[in-house]
Amino acid sequence: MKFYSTIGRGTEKFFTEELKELFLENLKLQPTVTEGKTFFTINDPVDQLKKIQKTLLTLKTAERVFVEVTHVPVDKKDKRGLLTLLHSHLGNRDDWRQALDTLAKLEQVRPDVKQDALDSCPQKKRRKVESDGTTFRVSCKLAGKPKCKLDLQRTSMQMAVLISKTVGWKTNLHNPKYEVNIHMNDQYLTDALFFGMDKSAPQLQLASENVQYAGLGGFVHLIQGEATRTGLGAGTVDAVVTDAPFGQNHAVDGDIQLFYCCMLKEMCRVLKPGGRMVLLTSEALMDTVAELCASQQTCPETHPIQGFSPDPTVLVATHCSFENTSERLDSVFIIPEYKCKTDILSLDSPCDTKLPDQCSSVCKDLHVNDAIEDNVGDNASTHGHKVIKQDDKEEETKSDQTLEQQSILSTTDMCSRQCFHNLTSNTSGNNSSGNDNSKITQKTDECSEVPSGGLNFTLTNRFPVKLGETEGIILVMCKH
Amino acid sequence: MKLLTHNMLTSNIIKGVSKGFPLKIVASKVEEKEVDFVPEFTARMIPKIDWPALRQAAADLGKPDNLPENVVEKYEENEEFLKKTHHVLMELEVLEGELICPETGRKFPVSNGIPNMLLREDEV
Repeated sequence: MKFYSTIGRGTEKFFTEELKELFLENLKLQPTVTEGKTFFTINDPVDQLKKIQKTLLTLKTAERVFVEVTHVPVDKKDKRGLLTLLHSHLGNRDDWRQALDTLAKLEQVRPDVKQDALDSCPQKKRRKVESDGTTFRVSCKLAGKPKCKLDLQRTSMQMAVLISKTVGWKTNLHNPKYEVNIHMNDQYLTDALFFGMDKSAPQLQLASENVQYAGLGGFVHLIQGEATRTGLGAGTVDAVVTDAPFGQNHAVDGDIQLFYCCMLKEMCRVLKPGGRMVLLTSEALMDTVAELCASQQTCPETHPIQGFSPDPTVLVATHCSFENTSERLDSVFIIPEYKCKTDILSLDSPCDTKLPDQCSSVCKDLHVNDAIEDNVGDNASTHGHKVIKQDDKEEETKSDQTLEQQSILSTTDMCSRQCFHNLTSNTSGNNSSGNDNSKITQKTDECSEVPSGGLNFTLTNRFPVKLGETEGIILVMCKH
Repeated sequence: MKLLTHNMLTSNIIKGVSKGFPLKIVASKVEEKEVDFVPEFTARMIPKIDWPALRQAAADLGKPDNLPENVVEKYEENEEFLKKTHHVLMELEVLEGELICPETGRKFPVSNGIPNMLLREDEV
């Protein structure tokens, strides 16, 4: 009998311990790929069904327990691929048969548990007796790339129809007997090695504490160095993310133009051909940076910096060694600086109206959608915010919207992280939107759990999950 | 500072230095700390590192650790080799010490596990 359970982040360990204790040798755990979820199988000796069912209903460390129908990798698929995947799996009678079988077995042994005790339990199945056949409702959640490619509402409806056909259940939004949970997200791998670099020792000390706290010591290595002189060998780095000083709150020694010139040169040098860099900069400096990127002086002739858009506040420069064309950018990420938190609540479509026309012509892929949900991703990952409860009265779409409004991640944290996420997502044109209305400041102490400092984003357990599919070495520079 | 990081650092920021690699390690405090072994990660890092420099670094720490002279063929499938490499790359950490430029003798301090590659004002 296959199940999966949603658990609070970071408590997966306790959950697996509890499971092991309760089910002993009957249990088989799947390696967890997603944080916040654990997949497991329980062998079902017939006489133990009652016990199993009772145990599942009274698990202490789990939030909800679901019967698993299918769990498949999503891979890098386009819209059609994703839909085909959904259709083929959700329309597969065999997968359903097993799940239904499990449900049936567990349902047989109902009588012991009292009705009110049941309702307060974190169990997915609802025991409402329906006289007109089994009813269900689809609860669909998309995150990451699947979110950009599929339309949530339509997909939900299509799946509902499909399930109805496959299994013979009827849809009922308000009082279904069962809830079918469909969750699609990116597969995240912590495959990259990160160098975090800063000039300031105290900042690095804090960063070091963060890294230890997050348990990321293996993948994040800190170096004290300067943006203009990193001490790294040439071509050693696959990607760079930096938020260099704007010269406003944080000054540089000497002339800022010179600083940028040297910094970009250095970045050019340490990036391998084809490497990418994300640089956050201010409006005031944008022109300077743009010019520098285009200039031959910054980079030797063999390694020109390609493709930037003059207008957005953030540039994505791709460092390509062979062509010298005005190739269009892969993606542009707009991160307006110094927007305050309340803007997030009130903005419906953040930047559409503000974007200059030039942008869209320069960029192959322009992402200006309200990126809050993208930044948030899996709602269980929202820092400090509760998962929206789906009670019978609320429809799925409505809860999504509420989530949007409530989910405000810590600012610099979210900004850099999204930047990072986009940077480390592999192919062009497939990145999730990068619009981020968070305030970019150096006050990184808005995340109360972990002391911030040093690196511009707060390192937490969640972070590696969002790193996309980069497989190389990434240099992260902080503002100093 | 793990040896994987050390393998990427050079003293080329100093004026007049042509290569500045590898930096010699003189360590006063070294820690051996277990790090999760992820074979794919290690396999992917191997082509990026300078193998002789890694062996030298391990020797500097007094832990030659039976690293073979060259990277073995088909290392991706050789779990034992990967584990040994993983141990040297990721599980040896220099907490306190110095990195010395092979050309100028300039010393870069390592404190609290973080190497300091900043130049002084007069060196810039």
